[in-house]
Amino acid sequence: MQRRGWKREAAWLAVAVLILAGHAAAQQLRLPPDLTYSEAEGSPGKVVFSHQLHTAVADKCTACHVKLFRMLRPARQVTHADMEAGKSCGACHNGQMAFGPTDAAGCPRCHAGEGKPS
Amino acid sequence: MNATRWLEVRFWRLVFLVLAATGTVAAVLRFTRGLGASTNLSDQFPWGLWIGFDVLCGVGLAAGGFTITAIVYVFNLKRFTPIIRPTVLTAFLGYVFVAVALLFDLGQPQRIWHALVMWNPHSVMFEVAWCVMLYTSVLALELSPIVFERLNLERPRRIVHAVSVPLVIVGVILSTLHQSSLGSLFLIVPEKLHPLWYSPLLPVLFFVSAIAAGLAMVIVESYLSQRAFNHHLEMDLLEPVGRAMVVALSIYGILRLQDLARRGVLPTLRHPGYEGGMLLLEVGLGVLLPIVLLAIPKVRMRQAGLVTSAFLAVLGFVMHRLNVSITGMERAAGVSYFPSWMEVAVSLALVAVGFAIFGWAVQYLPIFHNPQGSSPAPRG
Amino acid sequence: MKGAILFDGTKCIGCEACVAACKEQNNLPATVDPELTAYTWTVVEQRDKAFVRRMCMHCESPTCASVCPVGAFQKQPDGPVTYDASRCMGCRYCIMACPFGVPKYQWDRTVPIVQKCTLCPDRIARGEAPACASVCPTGATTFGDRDQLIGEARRRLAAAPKSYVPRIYGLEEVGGTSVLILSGVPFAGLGLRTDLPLQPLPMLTWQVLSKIPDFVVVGGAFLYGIWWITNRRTDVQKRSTQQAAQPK
Repeated sequence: MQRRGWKREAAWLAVAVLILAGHAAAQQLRLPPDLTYSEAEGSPGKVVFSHQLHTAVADKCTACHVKLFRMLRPARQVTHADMEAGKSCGACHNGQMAFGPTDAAGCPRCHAGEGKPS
Repeated sequence: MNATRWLEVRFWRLVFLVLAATGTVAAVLRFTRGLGASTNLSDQFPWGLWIGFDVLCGVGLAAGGFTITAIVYVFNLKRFTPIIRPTVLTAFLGYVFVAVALLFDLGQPQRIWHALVMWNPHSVMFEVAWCVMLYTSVLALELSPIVFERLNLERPRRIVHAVSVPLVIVGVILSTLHQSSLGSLFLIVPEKLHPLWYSPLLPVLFFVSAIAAGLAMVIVESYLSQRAFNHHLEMDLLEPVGRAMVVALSIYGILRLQDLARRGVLPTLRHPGYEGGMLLLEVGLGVLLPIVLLAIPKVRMRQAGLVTSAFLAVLGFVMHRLNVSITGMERAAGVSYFPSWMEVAVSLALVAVGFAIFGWAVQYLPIFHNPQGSSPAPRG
Repeated sequence: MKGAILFDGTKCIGCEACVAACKEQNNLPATVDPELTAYTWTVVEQRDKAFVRRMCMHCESPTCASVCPVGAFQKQPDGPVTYDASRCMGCRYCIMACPFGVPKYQWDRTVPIVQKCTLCPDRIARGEAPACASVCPTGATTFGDRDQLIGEARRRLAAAPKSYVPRIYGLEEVGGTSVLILSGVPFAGLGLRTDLPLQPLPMLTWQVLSKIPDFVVVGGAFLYGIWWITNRRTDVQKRSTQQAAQPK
């Protein structure tokens, strides 16, 4: 589950660092690459999903996979209708757990365009 | 019929009806809702009452079939002939009971025939399945002369009677194999079965205890037949059965003691926990006490002493099988198991139906008459 | 290639990517059970600060394959221990016997089958790694040839001896498994049984079963012999009484 505070992610990162530090060779976390969703009609810009940003706030992959998102053959389209129904991104991005589609910051927070993680 | 007798008959008929009714309800729940909803079984505890009691005890308590037929046909002790028919009937009903109980326990009982065509000779359960299937057929054949007699089919009766000896020998071989294999089932879980019951000797212990239990059931069945049908076996036949029981129980007791000592688990009984207590109860009540009682001629010669000892031996036998399959598996499983009311209802209903069929068979078949062509049992 | 998995506990961060991938690959319900069940074929458990994966160990000499009366389990030459649901009649001996507590049952179904990790035979056949190995972000779960993975495990143990317990779990336990585990903490602390014999468990029952043909022959002869002796005695008795009754 996502948490607003920074203490938990700091502790999580510390534990990860401790475990990883036990290794002679430096170990890289092989996260899936950024995912670009296809644009529907009237979209103000491409949505690029960043695992790096999101793994900082979700403690396990199973927080989202597979109940909200497929993993091996990811879907390439999410609609606002899906989100409002609480599916996919909308499970958290509903204005309570995380910012929602009608947030004051506006559309560019997600629709940042090509090459920019949202 | 005096008043007490009338009440007794009425009482047992009521018991039968209640058991049959609850058993039917439980059966419906089992097959409409699945095993999870109708039993207290789980991934941690996949085998419960229906295996521990219905299968393990059902097969063992029917062991009188091969013991008595061997005594009469192989060892040629013809004076025990009157015991054969009721014992073989008990055995046959026992194996049918096991088969029906399996239909409840298997997750997909409609596939029970799979072992006939899908073979895995490395599996103890495969061997048990085949031996039980074949032996039930042998029992049916051994019972057939009774039916032929009733239906006045002389030729078939004579044919079966002519092959009695080979049939009995095949029956003894098959019985030895599957009685011991029920113990062998548990050889493969040395890390799960409690050391008070796990032993490389499990097949031998199961076989010897089955012999003792079969003999005890001969006495119990005779007693119950007397209560129900006013037919009983003469003490001069039952008393030697009691003596044979002492021998069988003693051999079992010695093997068990030796095994426990050799594996170094006897000292744990000095401060018995739950498992230690169950073992002491099982061996004390079910092995030591019957041996002591039956060794005293005064006790053995009287029906009350003989029957009490037999009941104790049966109790000890059931306790051993339940301890191996349930008590001994609980600690490693990390869960404690007790059957659901539906499991108990089905098991009791099947036992009740078995009793009822026995009573019905006694009424319509010459169960308590000597086989035609056999010399009358000598007295004295 | 004999497919095998190497799980390195020192690299696992408990992210459960493997759990999620397994769910998707096998069309399992998304809910993650805390323990293995018929619907969750791999789990990541946290013990103190260490993580361990639980899954089918795909034993070299599988106990489940030995005990199943209808041969529903088979060890494939390329590694996985597969389960043929069409054979299964639900006796649950496999569940009772598996030393690692792997096979699980569909207790909620009226037509239940046993379920466990399959090592993704479809993916292996296509030359891909099982789903869990393909998504692990740290390389804690890797897939490869068993002998090569053993070599890799030995290299890691030699290169960083202070980071590991000096043992490859699954190398020899119950005759060896195709899932090999390395750990930075004692294996018993991870909930892995350390009291398992090195001999495959099926040997314990095969020792008894293999003697059956001999027993049938010897036993049959023995019983026939007893009958012959006791029958002769009765015959002799009968004949002597007949002779005595004959008029001289």
